Amino acid sequence: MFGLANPTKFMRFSGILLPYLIITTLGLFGWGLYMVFTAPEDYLQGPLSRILYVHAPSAYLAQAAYVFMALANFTGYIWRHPLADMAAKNAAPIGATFALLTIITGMLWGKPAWGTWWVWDARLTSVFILFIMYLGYIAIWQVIEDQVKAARVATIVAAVGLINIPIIKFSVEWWNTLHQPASLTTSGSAIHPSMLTALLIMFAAFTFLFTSLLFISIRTEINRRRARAMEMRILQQNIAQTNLSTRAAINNQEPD
Amino acid sequence: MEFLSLTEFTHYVTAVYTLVTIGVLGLTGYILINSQKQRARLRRLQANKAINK
Repeated sequence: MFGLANPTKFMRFSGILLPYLIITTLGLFGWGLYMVFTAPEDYLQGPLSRILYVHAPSAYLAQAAYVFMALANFTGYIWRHPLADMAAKNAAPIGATFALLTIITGMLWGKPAWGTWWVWDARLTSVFILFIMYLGYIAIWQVIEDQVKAARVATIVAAVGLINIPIIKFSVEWWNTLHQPASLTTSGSAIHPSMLTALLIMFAAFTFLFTSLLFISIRTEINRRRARAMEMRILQQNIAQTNLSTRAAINNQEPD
Repeated sequence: MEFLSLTEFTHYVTAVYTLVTIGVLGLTGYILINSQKQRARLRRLQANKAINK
């Protein structure tokens, strides 16, 4: 795993893997959406239950991306692996998008199901905080120009935000919330197998989408850093050349 | 649960799938455009370096 921390090795490895990842993602989405729209409707919610096939995977991905981001930051901080910080930095916009989609899809389900777009209950509020944490994290990378310093500050923010993840998970058990408790647990599922299959395929599709987008983003980041390093080298060469010519010109003008 | 008609329920489902599609395609598009920009930038610099040699 750490062998891939070398950017050149990662570029080679991801270049081979990426087409397969994209094909698998598209295949899983096609299969998943077919299963979603052919799965039976919930007897109480009717067609509204189809919203949950994208809401639940979005929510899972928003949290999983944050955990991944924090772990990548720790790896970068402790072992100084060049790719770890890049992975963390690029996981944030993807996670933030899915956190926003979780909130929006939840609101659109909540209005007809609960009669309200939004309530400040523990689950909804903690997911909103997660979204804000993502925005803060992205802002750090944008504001701090020195990438090493930015990575250090980002690690602290990621660590602070990590406390929110178990709060999101257990909020429905610790407090009285409008949001229902988890339907999928280690002890079993409260979902009928005909619906569960579609949901699990959508979970897999979202996971593969995240991996594909993250790989493309890391490759972009490596190219960006390589281009920046080349520009800096060219700039240094130009400055050195200018200095030489100026010195030569001064020497020529000096009186004997 | 509010008593809504089947059509109203379907409107909410359509809105969700439209927004998720826009969100996912928007994010993918942004990442791909950025990727192409950086690749082009790197290639241009490498080409310039080769010419200058």
